[in-house]
Amino acid sequence: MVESEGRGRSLDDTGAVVPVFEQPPLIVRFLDSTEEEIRKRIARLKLVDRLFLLERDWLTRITMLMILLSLLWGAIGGFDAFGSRTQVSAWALGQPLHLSNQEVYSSITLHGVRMLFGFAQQLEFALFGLLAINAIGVAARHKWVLYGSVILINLSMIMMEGPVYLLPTFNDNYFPAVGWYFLAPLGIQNNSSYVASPLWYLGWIFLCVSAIMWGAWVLSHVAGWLRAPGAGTRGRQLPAFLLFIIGAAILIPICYATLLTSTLWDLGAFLWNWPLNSLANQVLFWMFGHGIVYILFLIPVTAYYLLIPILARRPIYSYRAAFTAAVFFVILTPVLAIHHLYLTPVPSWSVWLSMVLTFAIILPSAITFFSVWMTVKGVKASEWEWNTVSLFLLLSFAGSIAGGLTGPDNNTPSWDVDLHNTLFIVSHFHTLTVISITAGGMALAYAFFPVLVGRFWYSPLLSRIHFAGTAVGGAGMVLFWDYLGNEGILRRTLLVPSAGPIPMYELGLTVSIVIILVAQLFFLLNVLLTLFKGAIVSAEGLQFGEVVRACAQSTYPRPTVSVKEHPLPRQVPRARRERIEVAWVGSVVALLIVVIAVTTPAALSTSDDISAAQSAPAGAVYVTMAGQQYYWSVTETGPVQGHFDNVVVADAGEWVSVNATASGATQGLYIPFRSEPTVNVQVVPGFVSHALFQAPSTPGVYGVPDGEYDGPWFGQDVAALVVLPASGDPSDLSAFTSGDGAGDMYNPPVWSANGTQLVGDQEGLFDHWVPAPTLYAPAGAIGFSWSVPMSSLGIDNYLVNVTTDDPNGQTDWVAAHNDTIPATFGVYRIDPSAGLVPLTTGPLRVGATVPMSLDLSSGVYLYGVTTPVAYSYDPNGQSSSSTGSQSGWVMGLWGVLWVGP
Amino acid sequence: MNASSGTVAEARSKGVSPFAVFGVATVIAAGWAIYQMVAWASVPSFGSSAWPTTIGIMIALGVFFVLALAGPPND
Repeated sequence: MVESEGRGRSLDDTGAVVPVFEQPPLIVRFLDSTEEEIRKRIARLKLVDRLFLLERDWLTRITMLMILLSLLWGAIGGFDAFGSRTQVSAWALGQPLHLSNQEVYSSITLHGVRMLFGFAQQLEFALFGLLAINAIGVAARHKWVLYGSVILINLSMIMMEGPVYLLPTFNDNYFPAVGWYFLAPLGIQNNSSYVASPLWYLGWIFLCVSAIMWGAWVLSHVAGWLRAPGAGTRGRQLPAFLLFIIGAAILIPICYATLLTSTLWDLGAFLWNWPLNSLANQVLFWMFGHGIVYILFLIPVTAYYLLIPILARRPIYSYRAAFTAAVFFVILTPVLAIHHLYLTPVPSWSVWLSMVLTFAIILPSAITFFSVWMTVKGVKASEWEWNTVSLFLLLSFAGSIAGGLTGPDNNTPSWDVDLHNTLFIVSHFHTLTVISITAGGMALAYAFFPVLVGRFWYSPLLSRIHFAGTAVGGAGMVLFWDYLGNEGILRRTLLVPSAGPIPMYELGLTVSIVIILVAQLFFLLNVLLTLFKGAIVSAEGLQFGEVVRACAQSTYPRPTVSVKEHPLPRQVPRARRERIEVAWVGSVVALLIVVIAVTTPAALSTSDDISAAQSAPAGAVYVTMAGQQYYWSVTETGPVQGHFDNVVVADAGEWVSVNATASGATQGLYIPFRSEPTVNVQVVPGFVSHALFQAPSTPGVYGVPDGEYDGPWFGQDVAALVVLPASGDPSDLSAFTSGDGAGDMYNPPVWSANGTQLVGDQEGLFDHWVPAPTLYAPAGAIGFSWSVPMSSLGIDNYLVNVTTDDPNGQTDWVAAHNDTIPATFGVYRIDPSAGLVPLTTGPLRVGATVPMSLDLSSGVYLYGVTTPVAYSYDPNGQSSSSTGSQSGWVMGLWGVLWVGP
Repeated sequence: MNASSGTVAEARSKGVSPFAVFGVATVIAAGWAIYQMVAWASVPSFGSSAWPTTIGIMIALGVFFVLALAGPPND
């Protein structure tokens, strides 16, 4: 500990007196003395003193500060999840929304960054720092580097939120609604219609600097320890768990450096209009974006290698296997970026190489699960206690296996086409982040929090309720997300189709999330009670493992297993144990080679089909799609000719050759068929993506949602594939409805046109559907009506381009404009040789029910507002390059009128 | 909390070993993962694109359990 001790001399880290010329720099002494003054003053408040452990050494104080702050961000991040989740399930259940689109999507964004970095990353810093310093047994140094890291990571969380107004006025535009991460060019001024505040990017830069400082801080201690006398004999003495902490400390600077590079590029494009290669930028980002998952995954891995041997009272099954796993994790983690970009037009060799390397990272995970499980082989039931630490280890172990085994699915490029944009990915991701990583972190927290604060857990009951709620809620979450993903439901979307089992799954998902969030309250309560009422830990005469077991045992209501260490004379020679490990590793390697060999042709063809146009069969329709925020501008040539907005027209069974570009954000052409091959390609601005697919053989209207999040009107960004009868003869939609529309959940429902009254809702859609319900009628006189109620107008409704803090601002504006919105409601015939032919058009009136009476021959028509509506969000002129801004072209109030024979 | 609370382990000489419990947890978790994979079988592209990976994982799990059961204890 560095403490000033008068003029001319001071104490170094070990307490030795050193000459004045060896004192720390002036700035450090100034900071030390300032901290000391602050500490003395606030320590007078007993609550603060106890909470922040102000009487303890600086490493303990900073660790406790990080733990508390991580819990704070975890709580806020949980609130974010609750906020966005209630809205998604409300929509699915046909209930009104209470948050704006911007608020919902920014809740998802902030949930992601707060949970991953404010909570998990900071908790990892806290636990790994403390464990590393204690494991290598050196005096902690460079206090202000660690303090700097803590300050910056928490400051980054604040900055990412956007500008903080001392006197807040209405403007939720500055919240970053950019996905959980940010993918160029979305959010970048001059490159996208949705612009985040530059504070978002500065926040990420702060986060990078914080992480790199922490990595350097840990590695400097390890390096110092290695340089110390006798280091040559220490390599073999590194505990297995420490290998993974050092691995994390190596990976963090590497991965965050790529994030720093991509973010600086983004910021340069934002502020100085640097040229931006979005695809290269995304590759750089994903070098971090994937790496962070493994960096955080090292939390449970470290927990297994540390705690299971302690609880089992025997060393890890094979140290060499653990060492091999650690080395493979470090080598492979930073090079897997492109597996997040399989459906973009990256070179197919890079897709193949990423697939091989990603399959290879199964190896260290396989080694870990085998070694950890085998470590408890031979432990009798009477020697083991199912306290909260071991329960969380068990949950985490199961979560790692469940989440880990679904990773190879995504890593199979031809299968990724089905999975990539669905909630299956969210299920896979949360299996890892919640059930594996968080549960592993909780095991560490339950084991070491008492060591840190010097008090045993106050309530075993609360800890078990926490465990049960986390397990039940976590399992429910991943279960329902998986069900939704199987139905092809998009991730990150607010507006889900309210059809089939979707509302029930959404409800189950929300209940599960509430359960897991409530369970965390029991943990927080136990933390507080432990701090103030927990029994004092007496470590006197106990070895390290005994202390940890005693702390773990304080979460068990009726302990029966002694915490005492007892020697384990080895009966099974190392060679026997290693032989079985080698057999396992060899089997995995052999299987990986076979799977890679069998998967390679489909992987290459999947990638080739996206990056280059394939030869289309004769008679194919050629479709050029330009992705905008928030619609597709479509031009067709060949058997179908014409221009459409958000509509692709093809004959039944006809081959469709798509050439797609995008601007403003990465977009996705996604047709989630279930009884036909799914169509899914990502379209990155500046690059051309291709798709060649066969239209369904059954005429009908198929939903085509934009697969990639592109801003706050993402939910409205759904197109239609209108499949006309191949013969040109009129047909009804009975085959389409009885055939379940190829299983595409985004298909608008088919309603009888005659007598139908379409009603606009608060999201600017008819009856919660985009496209609006397909109206069917036989040829002849057709009558239906539509209305856009005044009550549907508000800040969520793009139709009225007025953003204001006046709750009646939109309706007042409409009233002042003769109850008319400057958009056109019409009925248009789809003419395969000419595009849209208007039949009737009129102003978009608000408040009145408008009857439509038409005499139509059989054919397919569009109704509603069939061209995009310009939108610019600028409440009271507050949108700017510093707060963020957004504009775009939105379509939602349109559908297909199908007239049969 | 008594850090060195009594040793009545002998009274619990019977019960399910942690190895068995972790094994059951592994079966449940792996079973769930396999179920997630096979649930996609209704999508036409599943056959050619997904079976190699799915079968590879199934075989690996079989080998995992066989070797773990056959391997020597950590004694």
